[in-house]
Amino acid sequence: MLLDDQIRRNRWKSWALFAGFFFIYAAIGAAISFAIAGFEPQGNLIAFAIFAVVAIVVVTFTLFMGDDMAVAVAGGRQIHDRKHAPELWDAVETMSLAAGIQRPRIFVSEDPSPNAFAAGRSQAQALVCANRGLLERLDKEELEGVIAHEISHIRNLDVRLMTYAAVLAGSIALLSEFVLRGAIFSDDDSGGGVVGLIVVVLAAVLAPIAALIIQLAISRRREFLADASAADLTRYPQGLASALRQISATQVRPSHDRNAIAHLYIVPPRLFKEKAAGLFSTHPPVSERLARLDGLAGGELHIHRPRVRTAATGELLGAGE
Amino acid sequence: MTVVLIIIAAVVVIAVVWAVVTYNRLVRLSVSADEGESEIDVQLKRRHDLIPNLVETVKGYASHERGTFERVTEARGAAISAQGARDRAAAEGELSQALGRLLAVAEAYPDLKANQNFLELQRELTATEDRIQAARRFYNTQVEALNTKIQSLPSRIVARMGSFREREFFELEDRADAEVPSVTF
Repeated sequence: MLLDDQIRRNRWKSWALFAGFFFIYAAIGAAISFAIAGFEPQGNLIAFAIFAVVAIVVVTFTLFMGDDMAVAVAGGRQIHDRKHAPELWDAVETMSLAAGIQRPRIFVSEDPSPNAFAAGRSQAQALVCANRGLLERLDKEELEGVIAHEISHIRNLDVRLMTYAAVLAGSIALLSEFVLRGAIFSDDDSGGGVVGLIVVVLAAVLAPIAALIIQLAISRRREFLADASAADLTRYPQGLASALRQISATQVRPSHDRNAIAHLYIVPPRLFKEKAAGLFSTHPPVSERLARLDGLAGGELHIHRPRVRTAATGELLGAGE
Repeated sequence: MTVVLIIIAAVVVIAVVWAVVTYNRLVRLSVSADEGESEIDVQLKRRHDLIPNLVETVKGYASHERGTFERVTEARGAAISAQGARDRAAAEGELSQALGRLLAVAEAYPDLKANQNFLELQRELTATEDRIQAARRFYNTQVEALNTKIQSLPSRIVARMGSFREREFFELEDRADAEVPSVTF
């Protein structure tokens, strides 16, 4: 099963990467302890425990800060009635059914650039926000593909995982900073000596970079997983592929600065400003996403014959795939 | 000697833990399939409830298309009373086809096509059918996972012991894909 394999691989690798995080964290904590206090288990433990507590506090705080902040940054307005955005409403409701989750809150942002994002630390708190530019450009199957992708993020608890990852990366950076300052100002010889110092400084410099890479790798892997899940929900990867092509081809700029929540969008808004790709991007390049979707579509990705419904009767013109 | 005993005990413990975990997984999949099935029921019922109104509206403009109306009403009755996943899927498929013919007939009546009530009903019908398909996809995904686990080798043992039964898939073609014969007068 091509799709199941990909989903399983992605999930496993995400957790493996996550474990890598904890390992780096533990290693840094240990390195600090050795450098400061020499091999003294009690001191080591205390130093490590402090940083662990700080990390936990930060994670908890970030989790509860709420997805409402993300929506506020995006300038979204919640819609409570189907008639304000019927196609979006139908797409969200249908995809929630297909995913077996309760319908998330629906928001619309009056932003001319075509994009959408999902947020929510649990299914009960979940929300989906679509830009006006998206609703105007996409047909039904394309919109369903995008919404299926966002709903997959919600179902896969990606936001929670990625928040943990971001916070861990942040706390590792914090730790490194502390270590560097400690190394510079310390003249205590009870530590591991010059060699110990060099090791610690190296670790402190490299660790945040490694942490960032891991965090972004997790983020990219979850994007592939969301694409694969979306194809599974719709049984029509062509819809999402067509939407991705359209979104990435549009030159319309977003109306606000979105950097803070760029990683939540389906295609990073920064794309419009610079071609950020590779190791330091929160999303994989669109071409690679299309290639994977093509694999799921059995090589027939380019065949998107939208089922065009006439506005008047809703009757179909032309058959879909 | 004690080492051997410890090893045996450890193996037994591991086996029991695995069995419990597998059993719970099967339960979860089974319950999920149940939920999926009831969600399909909800959406199918929604469709059944829309139909009388739709038929009445079309009758108002195309009263002599009696054959078409009767087919829809019969198919609806058959679908409501069908039992078992396979028969119900077949009956609902018949209903989809009958509905397709009804709407194809409506194409020939411009007054009907302009009627707000009719348009609203048609839109609701389309939305409901989308939801039926979505619910069906979810149910079939759960059934696939459940059946696979019941058939695959280590979990098969636990499945037999717990008398988990395999489920039938719910096969229902999208009305859009079903063959709608052209209507000639």
